[in-house]
Amino acid sequence: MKAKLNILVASVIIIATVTSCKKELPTYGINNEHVNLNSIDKNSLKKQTEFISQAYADLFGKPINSNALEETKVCFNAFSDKEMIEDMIIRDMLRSAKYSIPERIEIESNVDSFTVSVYKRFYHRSPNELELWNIRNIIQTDTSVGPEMIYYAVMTSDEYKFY
Amino acid sequence: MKRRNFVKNIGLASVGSLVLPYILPSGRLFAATGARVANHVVFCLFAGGVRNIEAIQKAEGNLMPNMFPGSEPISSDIIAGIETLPPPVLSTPLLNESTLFKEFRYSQGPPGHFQGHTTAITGHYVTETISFNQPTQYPSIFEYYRKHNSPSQTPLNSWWISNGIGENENLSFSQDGEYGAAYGANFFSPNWVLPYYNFSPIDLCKTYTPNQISKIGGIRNFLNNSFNHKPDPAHQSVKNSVLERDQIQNFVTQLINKQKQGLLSDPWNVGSTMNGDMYNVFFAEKVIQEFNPELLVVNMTDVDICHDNFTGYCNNLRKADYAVGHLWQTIQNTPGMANDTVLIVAPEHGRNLNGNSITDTYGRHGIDHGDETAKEIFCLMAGPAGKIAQNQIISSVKGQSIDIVPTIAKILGFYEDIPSGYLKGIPLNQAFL
Repeated sequence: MKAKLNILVASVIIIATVTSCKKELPTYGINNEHVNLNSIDKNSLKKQTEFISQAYADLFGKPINSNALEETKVCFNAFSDKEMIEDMIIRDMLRSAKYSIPERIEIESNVDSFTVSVYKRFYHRSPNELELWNIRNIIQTDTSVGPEMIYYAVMTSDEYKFY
Repeated sequence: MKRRNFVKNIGLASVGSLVLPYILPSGRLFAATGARVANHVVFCLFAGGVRNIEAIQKAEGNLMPNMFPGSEPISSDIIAGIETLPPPVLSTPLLNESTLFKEFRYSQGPPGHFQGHTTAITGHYVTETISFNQPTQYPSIFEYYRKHNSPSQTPLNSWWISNGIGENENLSFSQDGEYGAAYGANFFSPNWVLPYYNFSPIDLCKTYTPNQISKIGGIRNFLNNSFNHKPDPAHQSVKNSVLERDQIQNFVTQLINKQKQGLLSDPWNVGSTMNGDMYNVFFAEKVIQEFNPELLVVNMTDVDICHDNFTGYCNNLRKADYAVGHLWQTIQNTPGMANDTVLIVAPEHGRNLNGNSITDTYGRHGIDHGDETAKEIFCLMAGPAGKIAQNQIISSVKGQSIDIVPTIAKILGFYEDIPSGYLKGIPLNQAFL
């Protein structure tokens, strides 16, 4: 079953790669259809305040207080490398939130459920099959990867910068 | 015949080797054409609106003994408002190792702080309306340096240490299509993160091993490849490489740890006199010691209380002078930068000839900045003997704010590589030997 799924995913990747090539291919009378691998429709970059307050709320499950928001915003403005300070702010939040992040042992029995919860919590959408498979594959093949590392990667990804 | 062809071919090859350009690995056509005067430049935008009357002419006594010689006493009516500082940091005034342009000018545009900063950092006067909320119109010295220096340098070699946030960050890179964020400086406003304002939202970051960082990077790459939008170039910021970002994060984290241990509360042993300017210079020194940057700009702003507190202005002028002395001492004690650094000190603008209607505790009138006297400033350039003329005072009106950018470019050897039309000023060659 697992092997079949792997073949299916690999086929999807190959098809996606081939069809992304700009070279014109014969259509053989079949209508071209745009196939979305996901339904992402986020194109608005979060403002600093939105990014900070959203990250806090997503991680701690409650709104950030206005003083903390203002102080974090000031900190954000104190560096020109925004990715760097963004990364520091997220890592500081992750340190503070360590008790609200599950341990690896808690998610091992149902990795897909964990992945769905992560995508809904941070991306506010469900993962597609490829995303589910990939996160599952990472967690199942590398025992050193835990939920906190997944949280960190998600919160510093491009998609998390948009809404 | 064969011999003739051989000679002809050799001749053509020789001419070709002289004429054909050599494309460097960095993508530049030629190596930097100018020899360097020194390998490091520190530019101190001094204090936040300083009159030559108090600085150079010593109308209230020698308020700047680290920079200028003289034992003129401080005016007796304000002495009670002047805090006690330790003796000068430097054994002899900085002028002994410098050329002083006594009658430097901020020639055009309104003498406002941001306009003055913009002029000094871009080499262009600001005569039209300026936006405080977006990158500057003209390239900054940081962009010229990172684009034209050979070999090209990362932001780790180019720092803008600012006493303030907001518009000052917009001077780290410009809107110019040929330059921009890709050539910007590491802007860092330490006083807003570290002890002066006594809070730090970035407390102690979660740390990961290099192996974990690598794995997290792999997961992030997968996530990014699944997403079809990238941040708009207009929102791009300065980017350090992953390795250099780690270095900076570790540096900042170490400072935060020291702050938590109380080790940064009085780093110069000057007690309660340590003000924001001194802290800003202290953190600039930390950057100097950690990264040996080739180009660092640091500013001070605390004398701007002069609008309603003239005595406080004089007091803070002394502190700014102390900070410059400390900065020079640190540079000379830092391996890699000692005897190989040119320090340029210049206010962004001056102050009015006459005071306003506000008087301070000692009955002195505040002074604003907006008239012709506010365009009169000084410029001090200190550096190694044999490179910078020592103890030279140029008393005639010579040099202006827009000359600082070309001067820095000349010192670092890339002035000739900046495309024509970009710079309006010229290098301050009188200071060079």
